[in-house]
Amino acid sequence: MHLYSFLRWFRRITALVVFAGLLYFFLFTSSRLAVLWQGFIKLQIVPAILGIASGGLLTVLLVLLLTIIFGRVYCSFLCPLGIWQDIVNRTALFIRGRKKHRHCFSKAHNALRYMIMSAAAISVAFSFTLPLVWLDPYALFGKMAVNVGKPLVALIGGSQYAAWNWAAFLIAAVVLLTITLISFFRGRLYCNTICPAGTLMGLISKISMFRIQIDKAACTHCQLCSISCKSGCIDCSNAVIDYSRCVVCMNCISVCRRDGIRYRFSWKRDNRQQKTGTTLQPGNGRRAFLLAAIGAGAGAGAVLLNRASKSKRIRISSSMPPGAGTLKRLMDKCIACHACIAACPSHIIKPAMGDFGWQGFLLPAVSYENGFCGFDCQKCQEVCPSGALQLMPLEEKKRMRIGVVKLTLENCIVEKFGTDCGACDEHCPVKAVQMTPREGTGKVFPKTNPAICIGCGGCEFICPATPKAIVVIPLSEQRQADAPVLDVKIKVKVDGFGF
Amino acid sequence: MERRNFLRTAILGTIAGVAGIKNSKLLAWNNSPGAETPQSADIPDLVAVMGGEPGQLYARAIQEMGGIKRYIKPGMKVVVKPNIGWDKTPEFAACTNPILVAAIVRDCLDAGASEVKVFDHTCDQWRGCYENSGIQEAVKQAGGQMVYAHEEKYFRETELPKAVRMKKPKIHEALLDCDAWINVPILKNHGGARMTICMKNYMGIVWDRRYLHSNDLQQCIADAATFAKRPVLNFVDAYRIMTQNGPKGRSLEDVQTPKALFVSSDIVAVDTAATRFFNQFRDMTIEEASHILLAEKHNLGTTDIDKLNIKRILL
Repeated sequence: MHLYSFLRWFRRITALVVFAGLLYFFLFTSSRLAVLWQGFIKLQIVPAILGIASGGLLTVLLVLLLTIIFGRVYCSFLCPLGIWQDIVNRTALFIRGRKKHRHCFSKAHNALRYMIMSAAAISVAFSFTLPLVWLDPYALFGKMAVNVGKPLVALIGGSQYAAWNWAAFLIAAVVLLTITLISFFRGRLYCNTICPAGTLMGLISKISMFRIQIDKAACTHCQLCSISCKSGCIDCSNAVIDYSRCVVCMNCISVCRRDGIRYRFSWKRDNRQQKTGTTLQPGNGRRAFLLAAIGAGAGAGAVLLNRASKSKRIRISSSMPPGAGTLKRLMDKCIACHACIAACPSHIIKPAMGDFGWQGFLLPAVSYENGFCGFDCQKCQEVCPSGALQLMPLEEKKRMRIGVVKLTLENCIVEKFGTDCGACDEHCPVKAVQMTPREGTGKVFPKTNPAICIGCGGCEFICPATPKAIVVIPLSEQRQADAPVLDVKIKVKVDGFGF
Repeated sequence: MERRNFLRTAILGTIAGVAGIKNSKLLAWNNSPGAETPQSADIPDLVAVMGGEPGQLYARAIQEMGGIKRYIKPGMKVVVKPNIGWDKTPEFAACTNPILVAAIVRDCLDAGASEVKVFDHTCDQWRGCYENSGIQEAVKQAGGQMVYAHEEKYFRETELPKAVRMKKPKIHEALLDCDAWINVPILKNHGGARMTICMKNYMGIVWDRRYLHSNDLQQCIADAATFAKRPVLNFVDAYRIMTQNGPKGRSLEDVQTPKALFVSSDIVAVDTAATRFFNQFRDMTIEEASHILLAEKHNLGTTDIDKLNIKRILL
């Protein structure tokens, strides 16, 4: 097999494996499988940058190294949204046919992309991740898979989707439709205009070790490469390539009939070749710089606005998943990829609406409507790619308080009807609520010990009273609860049956 | 028809009881391992075994009860219903012992059961319960099937004409469709119902647990037990028991290990016996666990176990 054909197939197969793996994780993951996916689903650059202090460093270095050596291979091999667009693009070729589905060289939207990237960069530098919720490809992919894909899977399987949310579904569906349509007609336009990660890696890939090169002696300027380039980055007429937009898909190489375009070691050639790429033309560069500065200014403005509004205390109406720490920390780190929503075996994590104020829109919020937080479970922490839900030793998680119990005794079944209940006591893993005898009644009533409560919501979930007699009050700062004092075992030796 | 059945059972029971009392005087505390399989008239009303591993306890108990073939006929669809309510490993005594469950499943299949299904409508997240209790693995190895019970679609509305409060619960389809079922709870204290034994184990066959809790829990438990298809046998797993912080438990401090097993076809009798056994570890009366008395009012069995033919075996 020809080398380039091999490379192209290698890309396709790797990309499909990565895409299928990620899609499987988001759509079908079961609680036990999550551990298997832990490393795999975290090979994502933006979450890794955000979580650089909590295990993301290795991924960041790996992606940087890959980009310096091979160019933007990340976008073709590892980015699920990029791969999705390639799939759409390939399907478009199939549907529209070779004659109609033609790409052509287009100028880079430098103004827009550098503005977006610098705005995002400034925001991240000042821990304001809201723009990334809407820009980062992994976050977008996750949102689409969870809020559109999972309900569909549930519908087909004939079961209920516990974390269903109309708003999140509509938003994700619109984003999915938009990106799909863009890639159907214009290939990788999103990646080369909006995606901040793509723009960032584009800066590096301009000087990467291996690059696509046009052999000027062989090139007849036939445009076949330009037509096949979904990034629209090959200016065949002038035989120059905009490397900042090239995602190394190698489609151009295989269509060239004269072997005039190749993927080559390029560090030595640079001095022999003309400076290439539209972005490097002086006038353009200055303008791009200016616009980048404007973007940075916009980012800074947003950061300031966010700071100002954060200084007012946000009243949270839902608990945060364990490991979030504080609401501020969650907002600083979370890009709402919804991996935690996908992984939660109890289906208690849902996209926030107004739960955390406007800055917290779509961030993971806990709802005890369909379940409660598993005592021995920390799947959400295990799958979080950005460390927003900090993975901690299980013993620490078991005491991590995400909310605190509030009992309204007059609503309680035992108080109202005088019949036994005890559902809250039954479900409480730490016995922060316990059925306690009340003298003269012969009945047992719930009694709470908030100091040891971890806010798992077992009591709220199961309480059969309407309105609920026992609920969990969300906390915007998670702390370790007191350790429960264990009752000592009464040593009893029994020889007979007692009957 | 029901009354006639009841009378017949009562008469047969009395005969068996009288015969049993005679027998028990001769055979009580007989722990010779090679005892013959008893003839029908010799079958005790209740067998209690103590001092062995779960497999041994089961083998001896079922032998004294006349062997599984008395209860499970070839071709029958069988359900074994343990308590798998909590995401806890076996040593915490929150769920029925997996070795016991597997032994029953295997025995039923050996007796010619066409299928043996096992399920519980769990309280904790179901997958964690099925897996960490060890029951899923044990049942699969024994050749049984674990079936889902975590969604409402697996339950069908069923009338309980004799019930006082819970007249139309949704009951699990496997149980509705089976030919015989075996109830295998673990012995624990319970914050709400005070005790959780055989009848409390019925909560796992019903979809809406909240209904029971909010409509007089004790009465609803007794109501659930009026479900017309009675378990052919009720095994109470008391290998490990939970004496405090039940039914979920908090630590190993809550667990005692008396290594016992009780079995009877009379659900009220075996719950009464188990409560008295439990009383040795921690004060408990059947008046407190009042669903047992309410079930007696439903004519589901007797709390007057001193009149029964009980076979007590110390291994």
